[in-house]
Amino acid sequence: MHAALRTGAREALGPHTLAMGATFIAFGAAVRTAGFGLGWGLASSAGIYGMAGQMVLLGAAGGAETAAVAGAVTANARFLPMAAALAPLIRGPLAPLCAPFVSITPWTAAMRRLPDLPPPDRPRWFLGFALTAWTVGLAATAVGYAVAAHLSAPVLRLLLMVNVLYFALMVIGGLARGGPWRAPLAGALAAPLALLLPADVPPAWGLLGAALAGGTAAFLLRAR
Amino acid sequence: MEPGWGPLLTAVAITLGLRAAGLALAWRLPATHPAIAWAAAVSEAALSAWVVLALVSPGPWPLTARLAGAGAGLAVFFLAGQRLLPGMAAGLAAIWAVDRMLG
Repeated sequence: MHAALRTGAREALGPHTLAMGATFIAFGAAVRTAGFGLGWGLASSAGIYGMAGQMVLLGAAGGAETAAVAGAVTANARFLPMAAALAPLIRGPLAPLCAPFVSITPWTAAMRRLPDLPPPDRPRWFLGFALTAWTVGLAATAVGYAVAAHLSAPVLRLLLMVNVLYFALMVIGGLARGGPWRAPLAGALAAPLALLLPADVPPAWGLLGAALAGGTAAFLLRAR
Repeated sequence: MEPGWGPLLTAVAITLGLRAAGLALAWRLPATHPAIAWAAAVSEAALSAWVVLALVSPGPWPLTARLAGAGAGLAVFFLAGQRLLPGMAAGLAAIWAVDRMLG
């Protein structure tokens, strides 16, 4: 095994991956609660590998397939600019292999760590880190699904809040570190508009509308 | 095919496409291109809107408990030097405690 790959894998086993693992345990439990099978949950964690979108897609259980897909893709649309930002650091023949693993935890670590590494080692470090985090996510999904059947109703309900708190802290932490503020603020302000929709409109449509309204408004204000 | 697999596979394909497009675009467009900036803004807004809706929409916990959990989580997150695990643990504990107090 290449030393950079090994280093990335070792560095992945830190607090952020532990926090990420907790959200995947919660997701596994939510998958079971929503009535999907373990295979569906594992495929979601493996293929989407973006918790916000994975949680939104659980709305497909309510018969709102199109809205759930649109909402899930929108919630994870940040992968496009994240991949664009990462690309210059992982240029080379291994770059395409890195694509499926662009998500918040590996990306955040990579943007901090890769500039300090020699360019040939960067994609290998990223693959080592991302594959480890991804494997933790899959294992945690299976654990969450398995334990959901043995947990009391209050604990299951509490697990549903893990992802909410995780992303709330990620968003606020990003703002506190001086990250972009217009879009998160505009999204938060637009969110209550979704509550004004008629009761028979699936919630995923409300989220999609709030994201488009808030994000576009933030983009236009930024452009001024 | 069981219900739910169609949306899942569609979302997987599109999500992978977004990542691949991001890598490919970086060879053609600058990171500051308006199309990338708009996509970034919508995705940031989607995440925060999802958090707000999860906190204020009718759900499995009383609104007071959810808001108290978010407040406690944020407070401990910052007091602990922006560490996620203590913040999440405090938030969950606060939700549980406030729900118990509300009876």
